[in-house]
Amino acid sequence: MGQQAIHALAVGSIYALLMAGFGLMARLRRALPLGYASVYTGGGYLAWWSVRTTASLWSALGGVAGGAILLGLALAVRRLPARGGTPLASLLIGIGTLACVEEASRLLVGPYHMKVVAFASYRVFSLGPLLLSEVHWLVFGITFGVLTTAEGLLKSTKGRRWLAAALADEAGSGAGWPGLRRRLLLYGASLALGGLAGVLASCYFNDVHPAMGTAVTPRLLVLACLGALTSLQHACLLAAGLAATEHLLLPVLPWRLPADTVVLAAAVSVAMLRPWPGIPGVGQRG
Amino acid sequence: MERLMVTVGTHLVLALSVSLLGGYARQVSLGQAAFAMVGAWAVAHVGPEGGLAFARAGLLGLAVAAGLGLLLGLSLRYWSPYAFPILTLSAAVLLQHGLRPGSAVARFLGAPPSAEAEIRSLAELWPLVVVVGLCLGADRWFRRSRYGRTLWHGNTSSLANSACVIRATRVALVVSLAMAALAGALGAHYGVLRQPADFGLETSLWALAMAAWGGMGSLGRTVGGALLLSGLVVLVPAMASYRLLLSGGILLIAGWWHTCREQSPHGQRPFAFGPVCWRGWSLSCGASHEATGRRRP
Repeated sequence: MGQQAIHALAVGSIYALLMAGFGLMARLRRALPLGYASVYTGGGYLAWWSVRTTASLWSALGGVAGGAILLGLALAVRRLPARGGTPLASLLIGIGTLACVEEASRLLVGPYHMKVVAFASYRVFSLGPLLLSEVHWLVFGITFGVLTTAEGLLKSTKGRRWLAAALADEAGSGAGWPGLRRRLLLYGASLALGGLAGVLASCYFNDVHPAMGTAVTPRLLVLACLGALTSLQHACLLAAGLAATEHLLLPVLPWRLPADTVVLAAAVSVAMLRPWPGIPGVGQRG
Repeated sequence: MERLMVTVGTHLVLALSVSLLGGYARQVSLGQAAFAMVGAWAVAHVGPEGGLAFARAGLLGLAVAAGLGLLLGLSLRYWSPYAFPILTLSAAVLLQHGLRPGSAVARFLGAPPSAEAEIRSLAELWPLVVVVGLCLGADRWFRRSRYGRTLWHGNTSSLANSACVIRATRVALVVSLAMAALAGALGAHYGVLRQPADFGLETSLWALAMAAWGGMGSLGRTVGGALLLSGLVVLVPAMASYRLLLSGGILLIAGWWHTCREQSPHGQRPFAFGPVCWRGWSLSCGASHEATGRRRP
């Protein structure tokens, strides 16, 4: 059970990282970015490719940073205002992006599951009765570092003001270099979080495949329904809760239910009881 | 030729169901194919031999899908553009797990027969003609009904309007899912949709792409888009392998196009890949409000 808890914590860390980036993108775009999981897939494949060619994970992390800056620049310099499209258009663009990335991965790399061997030899450390490998430390360390840094920035007065200005800027599509720089930073940060989650997931699960993005999208939507978009703390707690439900609660139940079934049943239940907090467009006509 | 007609007809009905929901209720359904699976199961277990048995099975599938739509629609207490994508995706996953081979439901119902209907003459295409006609009629009825008009011209400036919009959205969902079940029944009867994989996310996205290509909310354009794309995939078998890529590309273009458009004269943004949708709506209805003497709402 303890070992399962470690596994659940690692998976929850990846979900939290992904949800942090998803929430930031949702605030920037004022819509749920359904295509965000394609960044997760891209990060996974980047890790696979860099481990395969350079045998080093650092190049994958560098690639994620570089890719996030380039994509962030493309999103930041576009002339369309963030509110130009309806939620329906944003949904279609997101779904289209996810489908195209999945198919492109399938056509370029192949439809099979690929192994990602991040470390030549997996050393195992014992922490009392628990066993942790290098991959566990990698996931915990990076996630903890990134999320605590983000939370610290958000808690500071200057950071809060800067973020509010940047989001207001985005809504009005502020011109000039300061506006562009703010947008670039925010988009880059959001994309980097998703890509990083993909890198960590591929290393942790030792697996990358074209349908990674579509497999994780229902979980992102469930977390969004449950209120993970309201704050970073909520995102982390709910992500940990979801991972615990999947990996600690479900295996002990007498009937064998796939994790997808349960998480989506949760989404339906929540939808019937309350409006979804923090999600843009709720209660409004599209 | 008969096989082409059946495939195109099945996809057309699926596209119409998506177009109704997307064009009027402004909601995207990500699990339309799973509701088609309900109709397919009904046909496979109740009416595999065709004839009146198909009619019974089609009605059963329609009733079950409409009931599920009613249940999902009742959960929609607060309007959100993300409600139906999440709810339909959830329902689709639950349905697929519930009806997969080896599940309790599948064991209870028994394995469906795998033989497909052999089309020996054009007369055996009567289920196709009846279902397509029924769906076109249902689509036209909805557009001209108060629910369709409410959704087309609705806004949330007052609470009363919001409640009307939610009620009309529920009706649109029920009609849409019933049409999807009929498409599944048709597909199962003629063997176009047979395997559980035929009712997955890929088929749902394909239906969405067909509706978006033609123009959601426009009957004529949806029909044209569905005929063009499904005919292309049938006539060029190599395209079938790239259906998901094609769907993704079409959805990207349609979403970007919609973002770039101007608002319609009625103040509501039309959703069509082609010309202005309100004109297509009045053309597809066959008569404007002025011609029928009805007052514009």
